[in-house]
Amino acid sequence: MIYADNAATTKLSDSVLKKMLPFLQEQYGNASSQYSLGVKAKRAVEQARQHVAVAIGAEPSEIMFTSGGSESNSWVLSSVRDGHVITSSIEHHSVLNSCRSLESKGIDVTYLPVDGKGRVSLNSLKEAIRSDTKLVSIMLANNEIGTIQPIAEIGEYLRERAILFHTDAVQAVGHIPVNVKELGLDFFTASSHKFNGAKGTGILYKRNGNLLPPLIFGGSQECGVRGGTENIAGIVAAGYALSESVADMAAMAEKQSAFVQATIYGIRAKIPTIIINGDDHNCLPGIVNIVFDGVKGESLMHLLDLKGICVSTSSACTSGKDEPSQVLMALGLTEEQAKSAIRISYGRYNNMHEVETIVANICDAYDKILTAKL
Amino acid sequence: MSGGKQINCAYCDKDKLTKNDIGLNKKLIHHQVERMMCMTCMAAYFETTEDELKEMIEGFKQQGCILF
Repeated sequence: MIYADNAATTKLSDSVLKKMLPFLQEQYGNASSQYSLGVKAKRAVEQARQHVAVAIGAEPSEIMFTSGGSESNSWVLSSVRDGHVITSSIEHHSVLNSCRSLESKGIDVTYLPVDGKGRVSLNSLKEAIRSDTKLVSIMLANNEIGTIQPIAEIGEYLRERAILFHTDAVQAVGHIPVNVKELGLDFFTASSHKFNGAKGTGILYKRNGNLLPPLIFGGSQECGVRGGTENIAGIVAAGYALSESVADMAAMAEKQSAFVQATIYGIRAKIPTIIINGDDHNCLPGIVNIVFDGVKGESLMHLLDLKGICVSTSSACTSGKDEPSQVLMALGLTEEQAKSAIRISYGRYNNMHEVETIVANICDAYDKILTAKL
Repeated sequence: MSGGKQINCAYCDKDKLTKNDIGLNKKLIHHQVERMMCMTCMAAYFETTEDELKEMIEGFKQQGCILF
């Protein structure tokens, strides 16, 4: 199998698995227990908190562990009780659906448009700000096209106006340098399984001084705002995986960028009509989103699956109706183009031989579909 | 399938393609595909096996796809 859908999830790192395993078996203590088995578990959680804090330029007391990125996003958004919220039209569903929920409670939400490369403009944000704007939530990097938003500029502007700022950094953390202070953030979301940690552990940064209402009533875990016995192994994995990703981030970024360039070059040589979505300059290193003229992305994805290659399309048909990706539509693509796109996302374990295989199989599948259509 | 009209394989002339055959043509080739293939021809054309295609169909059914 060739896995090239690392924006969806990543393989758990071998070294991280080794760090996790003791906490599933011999070190299975509850971090709230007072005896040494519990104390060791508690220490492991705090060490992971330290790892995450160092990786993103935060204080350990500003890091909370959740069940995933969606929980972290929902928690921050649902904390707004009145007024006005600003987000972008290309956010993850956990943000967009949280915003719809806010709207149902009478809270106004402005969805900022993006340009053809998927970038939010600071000017459009400035125009949308109101006297009752309580929170702005703009993702750091988009999961479908990889475009990176001007978060530092937005953060600086909002900080001067004392408006709370949240970023969904799920796709970016572990892949590009992130410092929550330099970005001017109040809240920040990450998810361990996007950087070779385990599924089921999310990260929420909450700047000291900011308040969030309790999410889960229970014990004193996570400062008493998210009760429940901690997922120790998952939390340990998050800490180590993020440290590992940060340590070789530059090398990984260089490698994955080369894979993306080779992919584009190789496919374009055979299929010159492809369109690359996103921003060439401000983008995550391993993601490329490609439109194939006259062929459905979903068909390509399934044919690649038959060859043991995993890529994704954002307009999968599961109910007979295939809806185009809202992200691609927001870029200004036609519905037909949006349905003709696939996303290839490279990760830590890909190599150039796999890239060549992917390119060859895409070109072959494309030809076969076009020929069969005639 | 339009109006319940019988559709045959455009490649081997096998008659009466099933709902699964037609759904797979739409899924893997195009919704508006005119010349449809039976499962055997499709497996040969895409260099796979009928079993793999059948397994894929089961996956589509599990996802609730109404084409199957």
